[in-house]
Amino acid sequence: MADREVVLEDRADYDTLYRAQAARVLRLCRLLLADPEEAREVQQEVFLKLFQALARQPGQVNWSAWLTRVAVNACHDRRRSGWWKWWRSHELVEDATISSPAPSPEDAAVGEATRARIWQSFQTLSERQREVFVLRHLEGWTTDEVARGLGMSAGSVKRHLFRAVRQLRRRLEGERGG
Amino acid sequence: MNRCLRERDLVLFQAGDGTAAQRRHVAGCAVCAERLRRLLEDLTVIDQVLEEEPPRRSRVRAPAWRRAIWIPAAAAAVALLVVMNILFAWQWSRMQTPEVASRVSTAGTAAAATLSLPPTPLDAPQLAESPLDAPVDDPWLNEALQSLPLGDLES
Repeated sequence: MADREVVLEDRADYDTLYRAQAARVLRLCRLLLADPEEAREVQQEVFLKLFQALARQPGQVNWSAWLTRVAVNACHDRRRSGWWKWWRSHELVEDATISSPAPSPEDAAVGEATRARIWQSFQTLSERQREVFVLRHLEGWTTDEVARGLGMSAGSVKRHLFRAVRQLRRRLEGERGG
Repeated sequence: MNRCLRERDLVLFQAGDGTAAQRRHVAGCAVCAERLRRLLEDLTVIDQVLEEEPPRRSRVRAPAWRRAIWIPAAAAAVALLVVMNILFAWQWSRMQTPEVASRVSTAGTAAAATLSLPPTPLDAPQLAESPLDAPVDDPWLNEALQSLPLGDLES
């Protein structure tokens, strides 16, 4: 009976965490992989790991940070796998305006061409630059947290962040200029 | 701090990694304040775009040489395979000519003699047509074989 209660309690925790974090984890994976389908797969993988981890250690853990770490590592592994590299190197570019989803009010404000250019520029960032930019700028981690999380020095984090921002801004400025 | 911030310092400054001296400078420098404003504006646009789904086909095209390299590579592999096949067939046909066969046989016999091995089938004496015609060393077995009614079996 006690076991059953624990399982039910874990399940409740899992549901709560899923509701609170699923969208954030998906967005994180999408940014790191730049592919919505891949991101969904990795998101499921991450929440499966969460389910298993909750069963093992249901105690006090910062699950939000844990999820971020696991998601970053899962995306990292996915990007490193041979078939992913092969697939990415063979994919074709098309005019983004052809198949973009229906424009939202934000789209109207930013513009289709700008969106496409920013995404293209974001996808050409190196893996490290992208990870640092996402964690430091979008996830709001501190420089030290990013350095610990990605196993690099604080100086490297700053360098990658600067290069990422510079590249993205150049694309944006090019858009304005041209 | 009187000098304006470099681009790198400005990016790190907006990320919260600025020093007190940089903060004072930006507060008092209209140029740096304007640069910071523009940077924040750009980052807002970038954040806004990255919040949304990426356009489905805005992926980066691999360089032409990388996309096309598998074609000559596959052609070279096939050509290599064909050449190897031809060479193998040619070598095999050479082995089948009587001259080469006899040379191989002679060489095999010589090698066998050197190693004290029994002769190869090519050098062995002609076998009897039927195993029953073969000479048997054992006189008792010979006698037994002679007494068998083989004529009935052959008819």
